[in-house]
Amino acid sequence: MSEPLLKIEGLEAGYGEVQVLWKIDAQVGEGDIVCIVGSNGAGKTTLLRTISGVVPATAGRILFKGDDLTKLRPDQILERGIAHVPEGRRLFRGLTVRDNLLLGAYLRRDNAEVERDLHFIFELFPILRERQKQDATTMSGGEQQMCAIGRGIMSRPKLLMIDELSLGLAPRLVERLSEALIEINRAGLTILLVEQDVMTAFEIASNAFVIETGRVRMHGPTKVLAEDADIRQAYLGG
Amino acid sequence: MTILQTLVNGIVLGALYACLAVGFSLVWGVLNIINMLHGSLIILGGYLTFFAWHSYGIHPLLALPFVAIFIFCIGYVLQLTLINRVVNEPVLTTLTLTFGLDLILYNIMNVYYTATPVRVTLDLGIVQIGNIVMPVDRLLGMALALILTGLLYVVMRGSRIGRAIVAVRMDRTAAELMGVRVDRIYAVTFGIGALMAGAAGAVFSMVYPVTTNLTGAFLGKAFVVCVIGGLGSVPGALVGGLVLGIIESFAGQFFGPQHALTVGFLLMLFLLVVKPTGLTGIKGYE
Repeated sequence: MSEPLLKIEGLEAGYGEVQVLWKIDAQVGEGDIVCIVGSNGAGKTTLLRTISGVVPATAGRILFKGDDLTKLRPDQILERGIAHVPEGRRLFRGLTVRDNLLLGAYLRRDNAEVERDLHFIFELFPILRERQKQDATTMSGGEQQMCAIGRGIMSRPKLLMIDELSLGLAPRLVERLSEALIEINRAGLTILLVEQDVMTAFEIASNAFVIETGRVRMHGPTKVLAEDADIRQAYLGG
Repeated sequence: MTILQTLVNGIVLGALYACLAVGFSLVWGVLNIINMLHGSLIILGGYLTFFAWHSYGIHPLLALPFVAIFIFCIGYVLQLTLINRVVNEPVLTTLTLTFGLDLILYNIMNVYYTATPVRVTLDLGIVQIGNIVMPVDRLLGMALALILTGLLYVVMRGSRIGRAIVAVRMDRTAAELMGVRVDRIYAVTFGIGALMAGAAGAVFSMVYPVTTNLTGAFLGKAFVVCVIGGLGSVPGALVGGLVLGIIESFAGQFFGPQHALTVGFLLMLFLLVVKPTGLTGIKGYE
């Protein structure tokens, strides 16, 4: 196996005195869809926030294409090609859908290409084209998630991290978004997905990491994990 | 004086108030800093414009952009080196810091320029339409004030920096994830607030005498305009400025100029009780 796109070694992080992540080892291969699953409070979100530089790592390393990202600022990490779609979408109130998408391309200066990517997102999610002049936070949850994913893609990342794709959305919408992710992945984008809904995550992803209380408990191909008795018992309802 | 004349006077004054307050409103809205330095920055803009004209014969319209950029730089550096250190502290901390900076700037200006009122006299004559008489320099001042305020609106709505400023105001962490460097955006925002103060001062110096004795009065006006119009938006400052200008103009006409200020503050108190979000009630910067 060649060197993975993202490699995490012995990563530890937390908030102040409270340590959340303990010696996390994980990797994401180029072109893959990988998911991180686990219950509420297991540290999934903190892991993504540490990778994107919002939370400082206290130990370990994050390697992206062989480069150490551990001490870099969020803008430098984004510039290297890791975009983060945060939990709860966190679109900017008071700004239109179009402005929200353009903020995803904040670091880019190639305006013509930005315009093309905007077009790509409008093809992927046509509803966003219709609503491009509307305040992004007045849309429905599913539309907001589309906008948030689109905003993530606008930086032209190599790795797209999505925190809680399905949170608060109807099953039909989750399916629609999953299809879109698979389409984006086929276009060459590697995806790291954090999900509480293990069923959905396993349908999309080829590999999974199961996190419990800040530690990686299991990992492997989703097909194998889906047959595991413990996993079935804990996350897939028997 | 006719009612119409009083109204026109009020609108001219109100446009100047809007321009004077809009930078204060931006800084307050985005950074949550009550910038006590704002009044002194206005006067600094006025003084620099006056002395460029008086000592070097530079036309104020030519001096204005340079004065504005110079004061932007002062604001940018102050925020980046000093205010950013305490920007997340409670509002009283940043207020104390800007108050201290204000004392320094105020006294430097007093020493360097003295407090003698100065004014650029352009002698542009007057225009008369029917019963309404208006000096041309005031009309020019009003036009400049509206243009500057409009420019800020365009920058906030349509530019990359404007989007980043709104993003930082709305959700700092999400903005960081977009690659926005929050400390830099804070500095740019404070710089723009300072720039608007300096430009407003330059415009004021063409219309009214400026003196360091006015720093507190200007700060007070900016405060009242923000509360009346609604904090943190260009339309809010514009509405607040015009309302205050017109009310002061009529109050001066009916109760005497010495009571104009009182009526302005009474209006502010009244609005704080009945509509604390201000007349426009706009939330968020736009």
